Amino acid sequence: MSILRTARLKKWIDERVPLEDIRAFLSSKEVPRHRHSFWYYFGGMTLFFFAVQLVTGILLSLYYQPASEHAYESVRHIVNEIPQGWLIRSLHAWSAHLMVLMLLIHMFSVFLMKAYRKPREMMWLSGVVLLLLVLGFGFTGYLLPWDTKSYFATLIGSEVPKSLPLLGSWGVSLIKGADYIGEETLIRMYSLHVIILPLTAVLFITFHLLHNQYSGVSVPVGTAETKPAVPFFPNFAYRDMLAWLAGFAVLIALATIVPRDLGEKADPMASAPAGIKPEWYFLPLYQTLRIVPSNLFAVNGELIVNGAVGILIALWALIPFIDRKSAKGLKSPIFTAIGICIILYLAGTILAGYFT
Amino acid sequence: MLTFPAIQDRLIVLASGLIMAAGLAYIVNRMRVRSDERRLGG
Repeated sequence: MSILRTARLKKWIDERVPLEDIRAFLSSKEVPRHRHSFWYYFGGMTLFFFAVQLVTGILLSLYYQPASEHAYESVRHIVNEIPQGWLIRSLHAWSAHLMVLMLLIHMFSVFLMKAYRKPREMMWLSGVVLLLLVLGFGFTGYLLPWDTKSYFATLIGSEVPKSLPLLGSWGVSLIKGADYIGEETLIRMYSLHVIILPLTAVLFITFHLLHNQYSGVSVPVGTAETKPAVPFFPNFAYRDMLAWLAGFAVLIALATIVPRDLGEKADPMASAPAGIKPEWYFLPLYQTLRIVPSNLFAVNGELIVNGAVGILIALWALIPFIDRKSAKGLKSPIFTAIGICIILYLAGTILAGYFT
Repeated sequence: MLTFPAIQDRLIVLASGLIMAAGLAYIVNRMRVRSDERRLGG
């Protein structure tokens, strides 16, 4: 009887939603197996932590109040009084760190395996946009607790684009909404953090995933496949899920053992406390600004750094079009060397920024 | 000031989370093995 009912329900759904077609579409993609296959898990891990961000972010939004008078108190209320509020906030904060870390590992593994090469140029471009969106999430979310550290770090961070000609001061006033970090700034950050950036990110993630589904998974040039490829659905999807569960175990350990703290309520009238540093993923920019003298060849040092970062990000986005060798299916060791140099520079500046 | 639950209470949350993750991993791994046997021949 129940088998008959299940069959009838399946038939009812099949007649309305093309589940079999969706399943066939997902199974059509195959994941190759070779000595670098390990790196295929990190894109999925980034997606997993993004999903954690959506769920915990929605829960936090039920109690958070985006007003400078109430923001700090509402976060304290979430942590102190809402059942498991401390856990949800800690999960949100730690999952953000892990998402950025997974994204960076995914991006550099794609870069070093030259997976950006034809026909996946658009996938790389959408990935660079997603990187910028994720950094935007980090920046906009940082102010929301309205404690001393978040307030002054945002104050310093929001001044960074100021040195850029034309767009600079306009960009800063667009971010702040006023001459100072205040009510307007907080509401803008909140709106960006919970509406504009998530909607944009979901759009780009959908494109990124559909492109991946259509183009399939790239195999590095000259790499021999050691075993037969695995269908993405369900075989590789289960492997992905196991990686997610490992990621969840790390996340819950961090969130419970080192729960996210909250400093003193921000006092805009006070001077910035010493030793304010941005989050680790902004340290390369911060450290570079510290290294470069304020005046270099009679040009403002900040302007040089900001201009260079802008140009580098544009070049980074255009890598698939610059690396012509890999587009032809040839090895391009120069780009491997460039990638390794960038990784070493980022790691070096993060460590130097953190410990000095 | 912030008052987090005592460390032993947080460890209970951690243990619950890890048990849940391990249980799900056990189930997912069995499903993975079964799907591999079906599609990849073991």
